[in-house]
Amino acid sequence: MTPSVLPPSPELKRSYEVVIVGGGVHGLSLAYNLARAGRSDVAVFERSYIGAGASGRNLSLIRSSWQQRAWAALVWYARGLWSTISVELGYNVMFTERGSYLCIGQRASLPAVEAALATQAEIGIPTRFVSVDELRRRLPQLDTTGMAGAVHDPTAGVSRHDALVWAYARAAARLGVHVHPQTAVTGMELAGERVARVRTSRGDVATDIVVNCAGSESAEVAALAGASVPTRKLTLEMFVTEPYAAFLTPIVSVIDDQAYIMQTSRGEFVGGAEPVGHFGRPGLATSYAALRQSAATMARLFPRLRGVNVLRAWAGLIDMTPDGAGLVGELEERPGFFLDCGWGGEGYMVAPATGRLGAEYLNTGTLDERLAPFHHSRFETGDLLDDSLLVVDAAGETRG
Amino acid sequence: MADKAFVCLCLDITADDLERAVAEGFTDSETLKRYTACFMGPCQGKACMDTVLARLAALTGSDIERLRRPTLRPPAHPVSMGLLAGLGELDDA
Repeated sequence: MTPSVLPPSPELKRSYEVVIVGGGVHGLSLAYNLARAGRSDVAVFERSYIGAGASGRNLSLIRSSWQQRAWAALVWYARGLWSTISVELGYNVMFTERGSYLCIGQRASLPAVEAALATQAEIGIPTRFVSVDELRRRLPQLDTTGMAGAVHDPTAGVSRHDALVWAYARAAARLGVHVHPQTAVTGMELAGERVARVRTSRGDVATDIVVNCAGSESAEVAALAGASVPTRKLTLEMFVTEPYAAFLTPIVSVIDDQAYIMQTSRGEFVGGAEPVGHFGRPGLATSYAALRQSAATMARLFPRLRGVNVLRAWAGLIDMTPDGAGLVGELEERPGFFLDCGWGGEGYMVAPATGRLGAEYLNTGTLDERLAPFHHSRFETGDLLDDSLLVVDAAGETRG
Repeated sequence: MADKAFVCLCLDITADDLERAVAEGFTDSETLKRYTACFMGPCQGKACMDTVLARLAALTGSDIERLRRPTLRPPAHPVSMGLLAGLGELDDA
């Protein structure tokens, strides 16, 4: 009997029209959307189990409260797709609209926040500024010391990240895509400037198009093709607590503390607070320093959480570009080699959009205006996307 | 095995639940963990991991020694945020 949710790994074919490297939400969303548009001769190679990387390790937050028009417009488009994604994919990913508060302190200036809200309003995003007095009334659980207010996004939400991975894999496989977990891409053979063959741990395949959706491994995957991408690997650490009675409905982020927290439908608190200026060596081991930092920050922001028991901490790896924004487009020096990586800590929320628009780009050659600002050429043209409303400003590390 | 045999006492996961999950394609210990939430309760797998992996090995016909054991993450036992933060416990928390 065929498994009803996760497809079994199919036999490796000798060739695929499109090879996607990385079986996380980006690779699987792109594969599903290619097949949805009628192009199903597609393989997704994942070296571990699907969703093993940042896709299954993030907060699962979707919020549209960004400073850069490009970020806000892309996430807002994604947010529209999120509304019906469970129906579209035929699998419940438990998207739940909770609203979010992005708390502003010293690191983002109020004029910058006002400008961001104006941009968001132009796009149609119903965000608004909440004064610190109103914030205290709306979130009496929160200690607002040092805060100037918050940006409230009533449309923000969370979902079940593993379920999104499975939903895309299931939907893609049903349309004929070959999803290959436990299959590492180990090399690429060039013919002229193009990648002609992809070597994997289960054999070689010929292909016309390779898409780098490898997340934190995106620089290594580009190197296999003799190319380079401006991504740097960083560790983020998070925690989850025992389940408790409902206490916190919205998702709360605090820019000055690089902190974020939400309570799941089951009652656990999930969050993290990144030590500013300290990221250590990239890896999946957790550290006492980060756990203590998170606990101290949360205990200060939410005094009632001091008695809440932390069950587990974990780490995830992200691929961070110099301006903290994702990379799309074809590499000039490597025709047929495309990017969908570098999305840092925000890759999860945009995955429905990058898959839809990325498939359209591969099929028609037209890069949608919502994806175009993320083209990798911005590092030559200087149209950078640094966003002061990014909560984990790991890019700041490289900006110096 | 009886239909109500519990393999995870933290989250009430039964042998039937595992069988259904495997039939749905969650044949990897890591995806099975994420699908059923086994090893994610207060015991963090300390009480149930061997039982769950033995059932998984039996259901998939694989060698239990070759199954990946999901990483045990700190803290070893639940610890309050206040204690971790060095603030002590709140009396009323």
